Amino acid sequence: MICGVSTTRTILIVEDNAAITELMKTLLELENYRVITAKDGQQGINALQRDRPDVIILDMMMPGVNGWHFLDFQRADATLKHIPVIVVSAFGEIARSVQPDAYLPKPLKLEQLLETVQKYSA
Amino acid sequence: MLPRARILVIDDQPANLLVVEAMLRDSDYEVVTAPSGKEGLARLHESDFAAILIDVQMPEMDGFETALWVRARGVRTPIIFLTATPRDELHTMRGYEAGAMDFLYQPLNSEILRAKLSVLTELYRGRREMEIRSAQIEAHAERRYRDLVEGIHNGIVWTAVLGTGKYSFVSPSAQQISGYPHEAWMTEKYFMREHSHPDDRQGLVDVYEKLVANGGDVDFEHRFVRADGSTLWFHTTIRVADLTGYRELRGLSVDITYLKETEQSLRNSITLRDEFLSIASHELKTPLTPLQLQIEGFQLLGKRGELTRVPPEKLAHMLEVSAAQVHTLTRLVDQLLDVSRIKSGRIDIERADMDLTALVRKVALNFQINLELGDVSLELDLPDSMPGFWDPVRLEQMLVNLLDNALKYGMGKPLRIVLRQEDATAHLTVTDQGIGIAEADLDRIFERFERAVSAGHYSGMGLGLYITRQIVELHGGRIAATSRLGEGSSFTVHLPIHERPAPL
Repeated sequence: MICGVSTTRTILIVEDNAAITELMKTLLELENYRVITAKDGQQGINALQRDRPDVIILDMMMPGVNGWHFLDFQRADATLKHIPVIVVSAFGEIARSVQPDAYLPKPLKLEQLLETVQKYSA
Repeated sequence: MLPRARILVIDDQPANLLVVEAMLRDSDYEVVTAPSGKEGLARLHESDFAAILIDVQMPEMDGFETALWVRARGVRTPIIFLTATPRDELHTMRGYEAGAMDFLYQPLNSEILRAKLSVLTELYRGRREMEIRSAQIEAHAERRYRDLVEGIHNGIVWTAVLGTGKYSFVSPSAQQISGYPHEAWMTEKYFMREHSHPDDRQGLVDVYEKLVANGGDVDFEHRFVRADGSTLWFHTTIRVADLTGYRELRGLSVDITYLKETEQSLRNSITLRDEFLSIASHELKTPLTPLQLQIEGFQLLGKRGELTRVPPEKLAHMLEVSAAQVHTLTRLVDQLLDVSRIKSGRIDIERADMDLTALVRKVALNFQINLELGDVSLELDLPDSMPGFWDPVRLEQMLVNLLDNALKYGMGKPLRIVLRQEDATAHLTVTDQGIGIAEADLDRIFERFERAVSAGHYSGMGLGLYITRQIVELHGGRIAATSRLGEGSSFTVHLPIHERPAPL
């Protein structure tokens, strides 16, 4: 960072596919982000409260507590609802219906992911 | 030998009767006499005659009148009039009008009488023979039709007089097909409607009403409830026959239950196969997606010249994850191949001396990366060794399937593998504490393409347990599952411990 106070930005990935999570984590860490992962909505909610991330990457379709539950919780909390959410989904319609800050279609384009994270964490 | 031909002689003069009798004595004729037209007509009822001789001049009923009555009764037997009156045309005309074949004049000439009778008898015999033959043909044809009708075992031939609500004929197969006695079919009013499947009753009434209104024929399918309560399917064809004074329904109801069941099971198979194809393609795609992403990740890092910035242990880990995806893909493809091998009976086991404890340890080690990704612990409770003579490749596959399921449905809770020996049997139990299986589903989970929970969030093609069961059974063993919904499942494999057969 050239100017301003530089702090490490924290990204929360809520995604049930461990392999995809792992990869995103590796790439984001190389970009000097701090990455927290959650494999379902419940873990995601716990991490959200505990770590107060700067950006959330959210998969909608997860077993148990899913993306919708997660969003309901986040949006109901005044101290959390400002955190930008990037929804990752194979179904554009589903993603758009929840009106996220950004939507990335699956299969993921990694460059697009990095650009989007950068934009919302700035 | 031909039977003697009977001749009826009607004459009021006993002397004349005696003359005819005398003339025909010692011949092939049996003479029956009657002293009046009335008596003669009565004789006609008693037997069949080759010819009738009638005296023209008789009191009360003369010969012509008698002849008219004979014909009026439908008797076609040739008639010869006997008359003493010299021939005159009017007389002769009356005779022919009354149905005469010929006239004989009295006094009778024995030669002429015999000659005429012999011609008539020939004719009579020929006619009789034809009658008998045609009656035989008729009887034969009728027997044939009856045999045909009675020989129909999968269908019921029936007739019903319109408006009576009852059958007038029902073929014997009805009893066997429906379980109701033949008598019930014949006596119960609206039998078919009353025993129809409730959902088909109205349809049946509609068909009948349409048929009654428009005539013609119709064919349709409907369900019938057998005496034992089971349902059968009929394909019924009905035609309305217009007979004098009434109309008759003629029907054939064929039992097509077997056909319907086959059709349904085919439909189910097709649905199952379609579902399977959609699950299989989804399953194959699941490990492909992260693999693709990973390669893309490396490409991205390579393009930016950042590959070297990735810490070596991180790189190793990423590759390990990739390898796990490739492994999953391979396993899915292997499963598909196995199923087709099992289906065609081409799956074999190749036994070798092996240690089951060692194999469990090896599989557990291979699962390490999957366990780590899911943050799941695995406890092993094994004897030091358990030697046996099994197929190591197939048993490994079995273990992978069981462990894979435990991991998949285990909700991240600890897993456990226990291996015990009891007499000559190895008992291997894989236990999870996950979602569990409803009791109703326990039986079908070992079937092909079956799974207890809907595809939703649980991946897999529904082949693992099916293949596992086949492997276990090929080893002469069996597999059983116990489970409680929400508390987890236990799969136990009981394998007979074979020893390598002694070399011959």
